[in-house]
Amino acid sequence: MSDVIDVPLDSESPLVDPPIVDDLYLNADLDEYIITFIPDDCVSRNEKETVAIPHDSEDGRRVELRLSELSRILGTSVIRLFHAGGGDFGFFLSDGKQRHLSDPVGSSEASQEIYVQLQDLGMIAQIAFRQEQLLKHRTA
Amino acid sequence: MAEEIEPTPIRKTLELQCRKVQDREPLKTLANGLMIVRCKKHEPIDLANLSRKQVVLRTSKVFGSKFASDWNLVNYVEWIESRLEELGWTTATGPATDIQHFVSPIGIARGNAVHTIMLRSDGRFVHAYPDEDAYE
Repeated sequence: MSDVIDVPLDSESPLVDPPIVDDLYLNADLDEYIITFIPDDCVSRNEKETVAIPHDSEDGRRVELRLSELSRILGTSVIRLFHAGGGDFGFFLSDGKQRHLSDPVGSSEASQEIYVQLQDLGMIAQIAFRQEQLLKHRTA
Repeated sequence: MAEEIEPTPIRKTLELQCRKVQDREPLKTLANGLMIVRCKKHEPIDLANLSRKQVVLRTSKVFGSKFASDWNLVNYVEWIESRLEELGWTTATGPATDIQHFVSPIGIARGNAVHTIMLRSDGRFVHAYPDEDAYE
């Protein structure tokens, strides 16, 4: 990592705010969505938190719906997505390829639609995390 | 890192191989199934020409904390692998985190030099990143 990465300096503010999905995929062995996300500071000051959401749960269906929407917008099945820093996200596709939101393909309308789904996913993860914390607190 | 390892030709070759790995793809898959993945948003950046405000932004949660420039990918993989061995984590461990404190700064988070590395496994993928020194 000693070679530095060139970062664009034209943007003074990020395009997205926490909660942001950092990494999301379906763990088929456990039938759970594993979501690592960047929480809002008011929920956790940690850089990231992780939640497991059962596939066959209300939240799981919400996640599935957003992934289906992302697949529809991108025109191919998304099997994993991740935050690439700032306003950029990466998508692992079912054909084994990786696509980035910053790639010069697709319309700005499509990008906006993708951001909406990503924001929803971040929020679903954060609410599930908060719920988990509250339950832990109650049973402690 | 506290002790910088002189890059041998083999390590240079390994580093070049690591750099071909795409973001969030495995740099190394361990025998127990855990995968150490590359996470580009935490890799070193050139902060020399940035204002204080820009440094804070570029090392924020949204852009990701950044490792110091002496943390190359080979060192990163070796450190994680060694730590995983000590911790005994496997895919059966499930989501887990580990915090390690260093004497010297290992990176920058929210604009501040930090001495802490957070190791994070989600049960399959493992990565590490500089974190704030607030976990005493």
